[in-house]
Amino acid sequence: MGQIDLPVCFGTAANFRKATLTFEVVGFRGTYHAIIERPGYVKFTAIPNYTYLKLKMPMPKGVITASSTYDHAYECDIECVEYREAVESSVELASRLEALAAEDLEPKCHAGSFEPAEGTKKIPLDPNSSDDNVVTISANLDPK
Amino acid sequence: MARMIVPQYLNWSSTPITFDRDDHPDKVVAPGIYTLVVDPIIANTRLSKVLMDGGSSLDIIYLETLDLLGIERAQLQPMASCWGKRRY
Repeated sequence: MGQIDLPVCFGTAANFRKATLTFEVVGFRGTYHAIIERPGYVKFTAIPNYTYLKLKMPMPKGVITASSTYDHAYECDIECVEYREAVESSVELASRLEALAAEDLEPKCHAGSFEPAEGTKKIPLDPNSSDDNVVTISANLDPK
Repeated sequence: MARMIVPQYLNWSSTPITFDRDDHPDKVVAPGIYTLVVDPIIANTRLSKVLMDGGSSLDIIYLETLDLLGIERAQLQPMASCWGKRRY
C-alpha cells in the first residue's frame, strides 16, 4: 500500500538505541503488530538466537538483550494458528454459501415453463388466409 | 606503489556479541518451534508483538497497527519498486 518511516527503539531508558526503519504497509490482517526483517537487523546490527529466543544488539552502554518468554511466544503461536483456522473456516463458509446460492438458483434455471406477460392476443400471420396460423403477441402491440 | 586501503567499518562493528550458558533459559521448550517475538517502542508506543523474522528484505507493518498508533494514511509514501532505489 505504501511505505512509512517510523522510529524504532530497543532497550531501556538507561541504555537504548533508536533507529528509523522504513516499513512496508500491508492492508491485510495479521496476528503481529509488525514484522522486522533483514533491513531491521542491519540497522540495529542485531543478532538473533532462535534457540534461546533472544535478540542481542550493541548499545552505547553494552550489549542489550531483547527476548520473548516462551509463554509469550506460545501465546503468539496459538493466536496465529487460531487466526489461520478462522480465515480457513471463513473461506470455507464463503464457498459453501456460494454453493448454496447456486443450488437455489438452479430450479429457476431449469424450470423451463416460460410464462408470458399478462395481456396477450392472437393475430393471424396472414390476414388474407383463413388458416389457423396465428402468433401470440402482447395485447398492447399493434398487429402490424 | 601499493595504495593504502583504509577499511571502512560500520558502526558498532567493534562490539562482540556472544551467546553462552548465561543466555540459556532454565529449560528450552521445543527448540526451534517458537518464534522470536520482541517488544520495541515504535513511534512512541511499545508494541508487544513484533516478530523478528529475517527471511525477507522488507520490514512489514500492518495498516491495523498504524491505526492503533494513530498514524494518518496521508503519511504513507509510494512503495519503492523491488528493483528500484531502496530507501534504508
